[in-house]
Amino acid sequence: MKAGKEQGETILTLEDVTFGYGDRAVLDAVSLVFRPGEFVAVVGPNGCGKSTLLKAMAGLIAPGRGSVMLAGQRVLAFPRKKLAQRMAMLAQSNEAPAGMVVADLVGMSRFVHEGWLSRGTPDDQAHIDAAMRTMAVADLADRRVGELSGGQLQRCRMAMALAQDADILLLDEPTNHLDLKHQYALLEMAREQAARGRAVIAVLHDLTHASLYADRVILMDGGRVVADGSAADVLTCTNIADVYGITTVARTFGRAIVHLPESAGE
Amino acid sequence: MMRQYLTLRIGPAIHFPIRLRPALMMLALIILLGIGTLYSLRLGSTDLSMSDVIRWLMSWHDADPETSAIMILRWPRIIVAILAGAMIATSGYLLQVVARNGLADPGLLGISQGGMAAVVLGVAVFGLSPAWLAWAGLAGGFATAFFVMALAYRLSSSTGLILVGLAVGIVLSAAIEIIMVRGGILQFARWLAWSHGSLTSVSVGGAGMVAIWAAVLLPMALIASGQMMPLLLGHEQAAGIGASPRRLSLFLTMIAAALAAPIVAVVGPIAFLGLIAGHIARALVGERPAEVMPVTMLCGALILLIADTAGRTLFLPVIVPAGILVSIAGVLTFLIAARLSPSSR
Amino acid sequence: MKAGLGLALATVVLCLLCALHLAAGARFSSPALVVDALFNHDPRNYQHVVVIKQRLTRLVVAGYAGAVLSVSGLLFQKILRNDLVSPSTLGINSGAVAFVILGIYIFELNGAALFWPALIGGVAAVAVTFLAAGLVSRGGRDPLSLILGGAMTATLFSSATTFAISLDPDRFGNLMGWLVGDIGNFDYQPLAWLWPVGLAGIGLAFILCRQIDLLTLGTEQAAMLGADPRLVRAGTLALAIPLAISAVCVVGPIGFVGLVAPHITRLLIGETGRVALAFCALCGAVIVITADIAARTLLAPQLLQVGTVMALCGGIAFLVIVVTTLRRRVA
Repeated sequence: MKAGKEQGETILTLEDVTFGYGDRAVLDAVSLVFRPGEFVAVVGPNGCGKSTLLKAMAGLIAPGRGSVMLAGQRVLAFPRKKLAQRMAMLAQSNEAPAGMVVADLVGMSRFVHEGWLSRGTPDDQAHIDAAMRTMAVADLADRRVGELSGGQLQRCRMAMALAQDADILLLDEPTNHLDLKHQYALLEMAREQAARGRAVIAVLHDLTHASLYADRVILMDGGRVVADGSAADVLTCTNIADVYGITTVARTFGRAIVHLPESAGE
Repeated sequence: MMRQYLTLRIGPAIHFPIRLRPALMMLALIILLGIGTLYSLRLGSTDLSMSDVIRWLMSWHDADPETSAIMILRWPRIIVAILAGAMIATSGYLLQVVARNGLADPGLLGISQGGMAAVVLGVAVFGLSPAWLAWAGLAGGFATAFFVMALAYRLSSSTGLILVGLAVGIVLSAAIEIIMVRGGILQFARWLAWSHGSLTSVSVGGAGMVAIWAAVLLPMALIASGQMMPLLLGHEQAAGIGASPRRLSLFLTMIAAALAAPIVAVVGPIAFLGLIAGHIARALVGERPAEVMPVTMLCGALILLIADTAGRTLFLPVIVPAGILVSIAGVLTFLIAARLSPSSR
Repeated sequence: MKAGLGLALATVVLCLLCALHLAAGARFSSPALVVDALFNHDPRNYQHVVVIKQRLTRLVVAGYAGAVLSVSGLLFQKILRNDLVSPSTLGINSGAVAFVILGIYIFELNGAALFWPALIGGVAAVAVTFLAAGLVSRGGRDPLSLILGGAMTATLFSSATTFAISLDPDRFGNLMGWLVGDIGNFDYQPLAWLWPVGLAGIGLAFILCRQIDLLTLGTEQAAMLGADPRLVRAGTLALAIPLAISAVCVVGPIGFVGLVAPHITRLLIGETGRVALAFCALCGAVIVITADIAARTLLAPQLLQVGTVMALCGGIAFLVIVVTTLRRRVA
C-alpha cells in the first residue's frame, strides 16, 4: 500500500465543492477531508446529493466551484488511467452486456495495471482470484452476466472494484440487491479493506449499517454536510428529525444505533 | 391551459361539446388546404392566372378548352394528393394508437412494403391489370399487418412491434429489390421513383378509386376515433374502464392497413408521412383521439399536396416524386418539430 | 464454446468455403483444376482464367467486405451498447451511396477517389442518425431510437439518391448492380487502393480492443476503470466508419453482415476480447462468401446480386434477433 497509515495524513480533500444542474444546487460548498484507513459512511435522504458527491470525488463531474484534490493534485487533472490506479468505484447503475462472461467482466478491472504488451500476468490473476473469492463469486466465473441474479451481479461488480486494487474505494449503495447475509458480508469486507489502509467511502441508506460498521458518518441534506463525526455524535434524534423530517426514538445495541418511528416506541 | 367549450345541443339526445382550439385549428387547416389547392391548380409547367382557375372552378363545363385541357391533367393528381395524404396520415395515427408508440407508421411497420411487394409481384409476375392492383396491395398489406401483429403479440413492449415491423419491412424490400433489378436501369429508376411514392402517373381512374376508398374508410376512422381514448391507457387499464381493447385494436389495424393499401397501389408508399402528420397534429391539439384524428387527416393532406406541388414546379423541367420531397422535407420538419416541442410526445 | 476452439473452427470453415467458392459457379470446376489454376497458372487456359480472374477476385472482395463490415458492426454495437446497430441500420450505407452518386454526378469522380465522398456521406449519416435519435428519445436510452433514427436517415439519403438517379438514369446504368450491393468483375479496382484502410482499421481495432471492451460497461464505469470514454468512443467511431465505407466503395451497400456476424460471435464465444474480434471478422467473411456462392449458383446461369441475397437473409436474421432479444428481455 502506497498510502501511509499514520493518523492525520489525508488522501482526498474536498474544498468548497459546489455543483448544480441549471440553477438547482446539488452540492453546496462541501468541504471534507478523507484519510487512509477510514471507513466513512455518507447518509442522508433521497436527493441530498450523496451520489453526486461520490461522482465529484471520482472526477466524473466537474464542480462549478471548488476542487477535489487527490494527494495534492486536482482529480480532474489526472489522466483517467492514473486516477483509476488510485481510486475504484462501485456505481449504482447496473450496466454490463448480458453476453459477457463473469471472468471477463471482473478481469476488466485490471486494465489500469496493463501495458500495451503486458496483460494477464500472474499478479493480475492473483488479484482477480482473490477478489472473486472475497465476494464469493469464484464459482460464477464461467457464467454470463445475463444469467446472474441482481445480487450475484452486484457482488461481481464489487469484486471488480476490489480487483482494481486502488487506495480509495467509492461505493454507491453497495448493499443494493443483496440479501441479509451478503449485506453484512459486504460491510465486513469494506471494514476490512479500511483496516488494510484503504480509504473506503460508502453511500449507505441504512443508518443501522452505517452506525455498526463505519468509523465516521457524514450526514447530508440539500447538498450540504449537516454533521460529520462518529455515529454516536451524528445519528442523534435531533439530527434525524432535522434532516429526514421524522421524529424517531433511538435504540442502541452495542455499536449499532437503530432509529424507530416514534409510534413504534410505545 | 384554458379550456373553452362550445356545446352543440339538440333536444335531449344530442349533447356534443366542442373544444374551441381544435375547432379553430381545423378551420385554419381547411382554409390553408383550400388555398393550397388553388395554388397547385394554378402552378405547373404552364402557369395559369388565378382568375382562369377560379373561372374554371365556377363553370365546370363551359370553360375555355385550353384551361380544361391543362386541368384534366392536374385535378386528378391534386385530388389524389389530398386524399392519399389524409389516408396515409390516418393510417399512421391509427397504428400509433394501437401500438401505443408515437413512432408507428405504415412504412415503419412493414404494411406499405407488404402492399408494395404484392403489387410488384402482381405486375411483374402475374401481369395484373391496374384495377386489381389495389386489391393485391390490400391483401399484401393485410397479410403483413397480421404477420407483424402475430409476431409481436407476445412481446408486450410497444417497441417490439416497431422493431418487428422494421425487420419485416426490410425482408420485403429485399424481395422487391430482387424483382426490381430484373429490368434495365431505366425501369430500375422508375421502380426506384415509385418505391418512394410518386403521383406522376395518376389518372382519372386512379383518382376515382382512391376517392371511393377514402369515402368509405375516412368516415369510419373518424367515427372510431371517438372510441379510441381508452386505448391510450394500455390494454389492461383500458379493459379496466370497460373497453374491449383487443377487438378494437384488431379493427383499427385492419382500417389502417386498408387505408394504406390503395395508396401503395396508386402512388407508392410514402414513408414517414403518418409519423410526421400524427406528431404535428398532437403538437397542435393535444392527445384526444377524436380531435387529433381530423387534424391529422388535414395535416397529412396539406403536407402531401405541398410536397407534390413543389416537386412538380420547383425543379422544372425535372419532376421530383412527391414521396422523395415528403421524406426529405418531412423528416427535416419532424426533427425541427421534435426539437421545438420538448414536452409533448 | 471455448474461444480458441471457435476461432480454429471458423478458420477451417472459411478455408472450406474458399475452396468451394473457387470451384462452384455456372460451371463446376474440379478441385484438381482449381489447384492447378492457383499454383500452376496457365494464362491461355480459359478455365484457369475464370478461376483466377473471376472467382478468386470475387472471393477476395467478398471476404474483405464481410470481414471489415462485421468488425465495423461489432465496434458500433460495443461503443453504442446496442445490439441492433450496424453500418446499415445506422444509415451509413445509404449516406455513402448518396454521396457517391453526387460525387459521380457533380464531380465526375471514379474508382478509389469515391472513397472520400463516401466517407463524408457515412459521417454525415451517422451525425444525422445520432441527432434524430437524440431528438426522438429526448435523452432516454431506448435502443429503438437509434434504429429509428437510422431508418429516417436511410430514407432521407436514399430519397436523395433516387432523385439524383432520376435526373439522368442513363449515366448510372453500369452502377445498378453497385446500388443494390454486388460483387462484379470490375470491382477489385477500388479494393487495390482501399485494402490498407481495412487492414489498418482492423489492426487498430485489435490494439484498442481492451479500451473498447471497457466501454461496454457504460461511460462512468469505463471512466472509473481507467479509460477515457469520450476519447475511446471518438476513436472507435473514427475506425468503424471508414471500415464500413471501404467495403461500401467496393461492393456497394451490402447490409446486415455487420449486424448478424457480431450476434453469431456473441452467441458462440462471447463478445469480449481479441479472439472474439478475430472470430467476428472470420464469421463476416464466411457469411458474405456464402451469400456470394448462393448468388452465383442458386438461379444459375442467372446471377443474383449479393446485396439482395444478403438483405433477404439478413433481414430474416434481423427479425429473428429482434424477436429473440425482446422475448429474453420480457422473460
